[in-house]
Amino acid sequence: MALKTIPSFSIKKKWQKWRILYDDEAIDNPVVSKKRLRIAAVGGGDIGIRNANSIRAARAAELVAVCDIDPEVIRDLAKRYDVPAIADYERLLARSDVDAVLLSIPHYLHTQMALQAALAKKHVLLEKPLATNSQEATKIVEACRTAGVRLTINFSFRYRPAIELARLLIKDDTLGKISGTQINLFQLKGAKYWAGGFTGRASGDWRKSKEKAGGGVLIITICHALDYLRYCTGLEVTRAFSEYGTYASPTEVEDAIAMSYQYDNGAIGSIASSTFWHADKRDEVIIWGTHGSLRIEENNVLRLWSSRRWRTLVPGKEHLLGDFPQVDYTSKWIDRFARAVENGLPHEITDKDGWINNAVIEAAYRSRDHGRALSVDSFPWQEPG
Amino acid sequence: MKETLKRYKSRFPPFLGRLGAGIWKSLETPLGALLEHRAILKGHRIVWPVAEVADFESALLLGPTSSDALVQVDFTLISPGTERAQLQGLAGNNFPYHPGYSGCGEVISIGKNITRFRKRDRVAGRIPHKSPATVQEQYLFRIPDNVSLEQAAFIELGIIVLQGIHKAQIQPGESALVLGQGLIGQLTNRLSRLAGAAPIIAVARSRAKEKIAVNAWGADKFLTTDELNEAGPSDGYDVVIETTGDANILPIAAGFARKGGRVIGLGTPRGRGRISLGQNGARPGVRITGAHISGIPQYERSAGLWTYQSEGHLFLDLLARHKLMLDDLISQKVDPAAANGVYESLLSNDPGIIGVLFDWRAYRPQRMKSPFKG
Repeated sequence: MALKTIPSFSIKKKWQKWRILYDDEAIDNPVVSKKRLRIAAVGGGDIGIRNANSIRAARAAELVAVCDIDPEVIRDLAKRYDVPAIADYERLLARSDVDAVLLSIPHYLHTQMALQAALAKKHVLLEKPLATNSQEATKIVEACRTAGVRLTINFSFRYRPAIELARLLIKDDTLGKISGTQINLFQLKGAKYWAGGFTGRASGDWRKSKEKAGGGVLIITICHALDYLRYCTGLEVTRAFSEYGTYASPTEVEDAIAMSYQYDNGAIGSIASSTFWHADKRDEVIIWGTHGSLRIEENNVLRLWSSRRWRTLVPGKEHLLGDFPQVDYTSKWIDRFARAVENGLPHEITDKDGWINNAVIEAAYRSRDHGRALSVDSFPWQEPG
Repeated sequence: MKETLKRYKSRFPPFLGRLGAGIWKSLETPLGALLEHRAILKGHRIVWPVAEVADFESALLLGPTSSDALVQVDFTLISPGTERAQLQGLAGNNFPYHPGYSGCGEVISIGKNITRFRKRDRVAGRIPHKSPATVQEQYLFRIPDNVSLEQAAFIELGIIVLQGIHKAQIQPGESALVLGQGLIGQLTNRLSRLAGAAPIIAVARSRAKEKIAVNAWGADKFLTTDELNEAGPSDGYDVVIETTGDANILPIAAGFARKGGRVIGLGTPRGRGRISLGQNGARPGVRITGAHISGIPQYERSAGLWTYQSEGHLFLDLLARHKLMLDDLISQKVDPAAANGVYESLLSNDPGIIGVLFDWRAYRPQRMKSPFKG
C-alpha cells in the first residue's frame, strides 16, 4: 500500500489509505450477532453523555438505560435518550435487561459503584483511572475477578488512528530498540474546571480534592499517555520519581508536575506538565529509539523519522503522517469489549492495564515524599497463559 | 552543476532551498539528457540520503557519453572501511551520496570513442552500487574467462592493496606485520605472501577473523593487539602495513618497524595522529610511505609505481592463474533491496561482515523512450 503525505479528499480513499490500521475483526467480519451487549450508562456529566452516545454508536452494544443522581441531569438524560432514565443505582443493577454498566462518575466513587456492579453480576466498563490509588484499584480488580465479571477501563486513546499507527510502526521496528519517551502536556484548567469540569454540566468540586480525585494532572489526564505509551512500546515502567505541586490553581491536587521514569528494557522517560498554561495548548508525546523517532502531536499528527524504510516511506527523512479518518475511539473501545464478551473471547483493555496505570502513578506521587525514585509494584494476579 | 546548486541553496532560506533542490532533482536527469544528448534509463541504485542511513531506490539514470561504457551490473562489493567512514560522514558531509566503487558486469552499450570493449564483454572495474552504471574506459578491465564474476567484483580493492604492496617493495623472506584484518587487511595478507613476505603476522583487536586470516594462502600467525603489545616489538618487522584507517595506529605501526624498516599507510587515515620519532618511538631509518590509491599514476609506471591499469590487469591475472584465493572472503551475497540492513550491520561493526557482494542480477535496466535520446 502506498502511503503518501498528501491529503486524500475522498472519505472512502481516506479509509482505504488507513485500512492497514483497522484490519481487525470489526472490519473483516462486520456482521454482528443479533445479541448485543446491553449497557447502562451511569453518570450524566460531559463524559457520561459522550460515553452514552458512544454506546449507541457501537454496533455490538446497545444503550438500555441511563442513570444519575442529580434530578436536573436525569431529566436531561430522559430527554436525550429514549431509554429508561433511572436515579437509583441499585434499582438499575437489579434490572435483568442490563448486562453491563459504563461508569462515568467521579474517581472516588469508582470503588464502591464498581463493587456493587460486580456483586450484581454486571460487567464493568469504567472511566479512567481505575481508582484513586492502588489499594482501591486492587479492591475493584479483586471484586470483579471473584464475581466472574469482566472489567475494562476507558483507555480508548489506544484506538486513535495516530496511536494505532505509532504502535504498528514500533512493531515493525522502524525505531529500533526503544530508548526513551517523553510526554509534554501544557494546557489551561482554570477555576471553572476545578469547580465542575470544563462545561460545569454536572456540578461537583471533587476534582479539587486529593482524596476524591486521587491527584491532579497526572492521574486525571496524563494517565492516558502513560497507557498508550505502554500499549505502543510494550514496555513497563519499573521505577518513577516526580516533583509536583499546586502553584496557581484553586485546588489541592497538583497543577504542575515533572516526572522521570525508567522502563524494564532500561529505556528512560520524562513528563513535564502544567495546567496553568495560558498560551496555546501543547500536547506532544515523543518516542525515540536507536533507529528513529516518533512525535505524536495533539492534532493527531505523527512525525516519523527513521533510518529504516517502512513500506513506501523512504528512510532518512521526516514524514508527516496525518489525514486520518475521524474515529469515535470511545465507541470502538465499547464495541471491541462487547464483541469479546459476546464471543467469549479475551477483551483488550483489561483490569491489568488499569491496575498497572494506577501503580505507576502511585509510585510517582509517593516518590516525592521519599525524595527518591520508587519501584513500581507488579500486578499481583497471575495472567492466563 | 553540483557546485552551482550548493551556492544556490546557501543563498536562500531553507524552505526555498528545499523547493529548489526538489525541482532540480526532478529536472536534473531530463536536462542532462537534453544538453548532453544522452539516453535515459530506468535503473536501481543505493543511496545514502543522510549520514548513517542507506536506502535502495529505483531511479532514472543517464545513459553513457561517447567515452563511457554502459555496464549491466552483476555484482558490486562493499568496501567496508571506506564506506563505513563515508556513511558516518567522516569523509565529509556529501549527502545524498551514491556509494560504491568496485564491481563487475556486462557491457550493454558503448560510446563511439570506446575502442577496447565491445557489447557483451564481461568487465570489472570502478563501478558504483547501481545498475546500469556508466563507466569510463580507463576504469574498466575485461574479465578473463576462468575468473568468476564474484571474484572479479573485488577488482578495485585488489588494486588498492596491490599498489600498497608495490610501494612496500617487499623482498622474499621479509617479515610483514599487517595491522587490521578487515577486507583490505585480508587481501594484504594474501598479496604479501605472493610478494614473498615471510612470516606474515596478522593483527586485529579480536580473534573473530583469525580463521579466515591464517591459512596456506594468507598469514602465518595471528595476534590480537593486546598480545602484540605484550610481546613488544623485539627486533621489529621489515614491513608494517597499516590497513585500519585509524590515524592513531600509524605511530604505533612505526614503533613495530625494524631499524631501516618500512611502514605502509594503506588505510585512509580519518583524523589526526601524532608520530613520536627517536627514543621510545620509531627506530632509526624507518621509512613511512603513504599508499593511498589516489597517488597511483594513470599513464606511466616505474619500478615502484604501477599504473591503475597495470595493477588491475595483474589482479585479474593472479585470479586467472589461481594464485589468489578470494572465495572464502565472500561473507554474504545480498539483494541490494536489503541495503538498509546491510549498512546497519556495517555501522555496528558486525564482525560477520567481511566481503559483502550486492547481487544486481534481478535488476535489469530498461531503456526509456526518450525524446532526448542521443
